[in-house]
Amino acid sequence: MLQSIERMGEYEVSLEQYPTPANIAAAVLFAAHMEHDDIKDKKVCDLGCGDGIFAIGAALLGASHVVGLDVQSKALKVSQKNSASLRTENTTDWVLGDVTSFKVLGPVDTVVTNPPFGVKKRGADLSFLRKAISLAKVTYSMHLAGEKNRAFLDSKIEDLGGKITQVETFEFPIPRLYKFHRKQKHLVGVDLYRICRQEE
Amino acid sequence: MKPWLMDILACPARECRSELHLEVYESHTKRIENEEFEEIDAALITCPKCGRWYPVIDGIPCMLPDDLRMSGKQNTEETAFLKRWRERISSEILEKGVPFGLPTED
Repeated sequence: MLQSIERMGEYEVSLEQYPTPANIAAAVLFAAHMEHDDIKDKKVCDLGCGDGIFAIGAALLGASHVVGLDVQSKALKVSQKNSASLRTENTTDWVLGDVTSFKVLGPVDTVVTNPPFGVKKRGADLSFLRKAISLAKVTYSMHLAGEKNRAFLDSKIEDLGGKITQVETFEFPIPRLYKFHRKQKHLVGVDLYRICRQEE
Repeated sequence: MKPWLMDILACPARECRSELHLEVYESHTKRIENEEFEEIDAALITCPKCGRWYPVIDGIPCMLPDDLRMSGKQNTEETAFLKRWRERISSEILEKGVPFGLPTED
C-alpha cells in the first residue's frame, strides 16, 4: 500500500532529504508493531516526515494519533494528499515546524524518524535524536551504517539519555536525486536503531 | 488539522512550552467509513503565556520559530492569513502581534 504514495518532486540538498523506500518503511513499521507493540493504539510522531511515508504507515497499522513534522510546507502538502488517498486522514496531522523548537504538552509513545544523515551538515541527525528521545519512550531512527558512525551514535545516544535496544541494517537505494551524485543509483547501508529512553 | 492536535502541541517559543488556544475560522466535516470527524482548514492558534500567534493555513498549523517567520515566502503567507481573517483577529494581534502584525497601509 505504501508503494502507492506520491514522492516529492524535488529535494533540497542542504536538508539532506533522502526518501525512505516504501518497502523499508513498511518493514520497519511492521516489526515495530509485531515485535514490540510500539504502533497500534499509540501516539506516534514522525520527525522530518517528508512525504509522510512513516506517519501514514503508522496510521495504517492502527496508531491512535500520528503527527508528522517537517520544516518544508511543500513536503506537508504531499503528506496531506497521500494521507487522503490512503484514507488515514482521521488519525494523521501535519505540522510545519523545526525539529529543534518543536514542543509537545506531554510525551508521545513512539517517534519514527529518517533524519538527515548529517554528512553535509554535521550533527543534523543529532538534533533529531535529541528531540526524539525527549519526546518519546521509544524511538526508531535511521542512520548511515558503518562501525565508526555506530560507535559515535552509541555514545551520543547514551549522553542524550537513550539506550539502544536493537540495530538492524538495510540497503537503501539512493537514486540520483542531486546533481553531485555521480552514479545513477547506488546502495547505501542504513542502520535502523530502536532506542528506549532510560528511566531516571 | 484535527481538534485533537491541540492536546499534543505546545508553544514552540524558546522557554515557553505553554498550552495553546485555538480559534477555528473554517472547518468541514469528513467521513471515513462510519467515523465522522472535523477537519480544520483555517484557524488562529494563540499562546496565552508568551502572546505569540500561529496560523493554521490550508489545514496545516505553522508552528515555526520567529526567525523562520520573519522573511521570505512564509512571512508572505502568514501576512496574507492576517489580511484574510482581519475581521476575526483581535486588534491587539493585528497592531502589535508577536512576532509580527499587519503593517498599516492606507
